[in-house]
Amino acid sequence: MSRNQRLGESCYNDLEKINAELFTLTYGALVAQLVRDMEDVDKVNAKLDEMGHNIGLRLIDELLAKSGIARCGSFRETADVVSKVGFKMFLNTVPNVDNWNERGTECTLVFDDNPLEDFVALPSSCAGLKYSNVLCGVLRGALESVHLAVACEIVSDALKGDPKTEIRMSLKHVIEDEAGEDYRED
Amino acid sequence: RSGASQSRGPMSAIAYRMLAFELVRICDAQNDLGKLEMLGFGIGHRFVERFTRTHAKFTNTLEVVKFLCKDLWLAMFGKQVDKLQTNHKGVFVLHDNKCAWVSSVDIDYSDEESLEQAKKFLIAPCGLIRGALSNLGIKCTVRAEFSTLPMCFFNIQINEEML
Repeated sequence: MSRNQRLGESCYNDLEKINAELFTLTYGALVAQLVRDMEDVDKVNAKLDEMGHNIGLRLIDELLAKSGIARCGSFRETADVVSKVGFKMFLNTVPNVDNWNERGTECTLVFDDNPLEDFVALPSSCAGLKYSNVLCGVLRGALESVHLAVACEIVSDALKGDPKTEIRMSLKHVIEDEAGEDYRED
Repeated sequence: RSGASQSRGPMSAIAYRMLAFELVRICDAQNDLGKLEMLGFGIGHRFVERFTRTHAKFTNTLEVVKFLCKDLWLAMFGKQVDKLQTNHKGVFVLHDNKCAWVSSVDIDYSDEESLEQAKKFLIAPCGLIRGALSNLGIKCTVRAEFSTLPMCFFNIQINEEML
């Protein structure tokens, strides 16, 4: 077991918990409500991403506080922490990080198991719905907080007959500190 | 598609509260907090549907409420209700000393606005209780109260028993 795996396990064990089915049903109720309210699946996808962004901005603080994790030296390292610590802590699942590009700026998170999708069957009217899009937003928000601008997209979807749900995560750029050089602490 | 959740371990309550927060925010923006109650109702109803599949039939209301306080609460939140009171005339009060919906550290309990926010957080769980009991043959009205968060009281007024 790797260091991050152990860290993810121990952080998960220390957290206050809630029933997984309750979590899944609640997310399902939320998505269904958005579909009823907005009717247009593209708007729903955007809303899920926006909500995820809000959640990610706050979850990262929990992750940093509870894990005490040090600064990552590379995006590969970041992706490893995202998968083994972040997803383990908050969703109790560990996606595989796969399919890196040569520069180490793009990878795919492959979910053997996505708790959000339990008991879900999409009606044909929702063919364009990216059901788990909240996760893309969470990643974007969380990494933005640690100065990494990423783009995330569901590129494969188990709810639409693909073997697994996969999220492609691309590092766009490192966000510059807004404070000038004089104010840098390090 | 069937879920694997029979064996799925519990998930983070913090992430759940953030999800609930987004639900509150959506309904708040639409000025429709009643929707939160209905959403909670649906969630409670469905949860019980799955949870009681193999459970024997209940014979009276007290039995159902005790089931809610012990088995259901434990399954959902990893703890039982701390205290149950009844006037034996159709009113039950559940005391939860550490309610999972509001035990978040990001609520400032001294701040008026945060308390207003906390009240909104308790609308969905009221609906959830109503949905759960509805599935078990009891029609009721549920409201939440609190004095010192995260301690909460859920006041259940039984309207109709269909057992």
